[in-house]
Amino acid sequence: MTNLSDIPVLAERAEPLPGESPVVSAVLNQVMELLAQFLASGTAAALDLKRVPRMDAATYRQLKDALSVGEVTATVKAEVTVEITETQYPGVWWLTHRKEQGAIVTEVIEITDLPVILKSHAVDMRAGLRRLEQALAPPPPRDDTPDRVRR
Amino acid sequence: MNTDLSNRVDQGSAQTEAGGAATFDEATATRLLALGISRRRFMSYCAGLASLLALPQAMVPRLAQAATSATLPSVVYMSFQECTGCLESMVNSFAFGGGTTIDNLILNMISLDYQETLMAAAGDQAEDLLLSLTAKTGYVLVVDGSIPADWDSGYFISGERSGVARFKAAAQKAGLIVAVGTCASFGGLPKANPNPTGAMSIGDLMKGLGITKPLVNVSGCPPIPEVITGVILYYLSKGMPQLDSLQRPTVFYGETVHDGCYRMSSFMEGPLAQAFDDSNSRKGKCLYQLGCKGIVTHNACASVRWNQGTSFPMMSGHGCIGCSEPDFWDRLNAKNQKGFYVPIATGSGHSRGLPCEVCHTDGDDYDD
Ligand code: SF4
Ligand code: SF4
Repeated sequence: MTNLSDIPVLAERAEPLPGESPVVSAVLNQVMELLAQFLASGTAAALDLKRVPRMDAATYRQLKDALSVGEVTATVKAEVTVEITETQYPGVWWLTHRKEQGAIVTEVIEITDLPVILKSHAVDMRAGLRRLEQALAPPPPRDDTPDRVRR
Repeated sequence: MNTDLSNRVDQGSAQTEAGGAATFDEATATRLLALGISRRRFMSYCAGLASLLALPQAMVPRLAQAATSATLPSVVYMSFQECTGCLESMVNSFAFGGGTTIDNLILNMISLDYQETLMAAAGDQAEDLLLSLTAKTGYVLVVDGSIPADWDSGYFISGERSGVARFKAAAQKAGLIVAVGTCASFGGLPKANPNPTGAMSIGDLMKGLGITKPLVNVSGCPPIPEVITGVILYYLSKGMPQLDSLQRPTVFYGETVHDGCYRMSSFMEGPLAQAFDDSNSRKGKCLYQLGCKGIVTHNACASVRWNQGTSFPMMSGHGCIGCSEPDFWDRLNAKNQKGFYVPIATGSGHSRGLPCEVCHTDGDDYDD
């Protein structure tokens, strides 16, 4: 039987708002399709902003404003800093990777329920578990009992 | 909507594997843990690398896997008629990763097994190492510098062998040959007129010697550090990159420096800078009149930039000298003149219909 998700649906976004760059409009349409796709098939996707043509400063600002900021922000601090913000559209995340001096290295829009960089990896969790076990293990018996007690 | 544009946007997006977001496999995560590198930091690094290499972000786990694999082909790096600027550039690569751990990992990762300037071995020990490494198959042979075509000219002798003999022997079992720098790619400065040593590019020498190994030219004087290591990593994780007609990877050399230059709008409409550091130059106007060769120079300077992504020459008020193109020392410019500060013969204001006063202060098109 045909499932609802098997029926191809192409959702058209409205024409660009007056003054909206066609680049912004194209990216938003792309995000919309990818979000619909994630909901239908669970296929996550990422859009590298460096590869979007003609993304000048004004267009970038328009895009950022159009997606706006949603409920979740998180920061990975691991020598480099990665700022992760859910946009006003749940499941559409804006990731900014910065190098030490704070300059932007990479910016990506991810379409997924939770960006992978936020998830813990089983390997790291096992290593963490071992450290926790070591921290909680009872200290080994110390052989520094005073002589008079031992006697 | 502009369909052309939406198609181009499509290329920038990437689907991760069906069923969820791609993460590092067990082996990669374990190796990173053993190396003491934060998985998230490395993931961020690989996201930057993928972006730089124009690979989809879904390639991040594959890049990480390739980068941390314990079985990488060895890299044999040989130098011929060169100034060591290319190597200097390469050892500074990926400094944007920060700190030393990832930089070390990159050098370990590409397994740089032979490089005369960097390695401790010298003399017979170094020669023995070269012979043993090139006796195996599938290594990446990186070459910088051009080679005198006449094997017995006496111009390049090392380890009692001519440059031709050294290259020929080392190329036999290589899986890939990477000509790093404009000297290796196109002959560069040693080949500039009058070419006293009879210098030849690696590609031309290979043709002469009948060597048919895959060749990638990574031109530039020097090439951008991230471009050198990026090409090697691309090969290791994805195979041969797409090349232009001069054997350069299109991912880095597909566009001209001019295509990404922030001074472009004044190139189109004027005004142009007429002297270094004049008020137009300071206002970020185009350096075409001052001899900028950006229009005819294919390189990633304006996108990848130099010094860990800080800037590119036009941001310091100096035009491009065209260092990543063949015969850039001897280029004939307007009025058949050579020179880094002579405007190029193409792209003049005339040909683009600009009024005379855009390029000529006194409003006529004669140079006074
Ligand atoms: S400064 Fe050079 S690269 Fe920049 S716009 Fe002018 S001609 Fe092109
Ligand atoms: S701006 Fe031009 S001369 Fe300078 S490094 Fe780039 S390609 Fe070479």
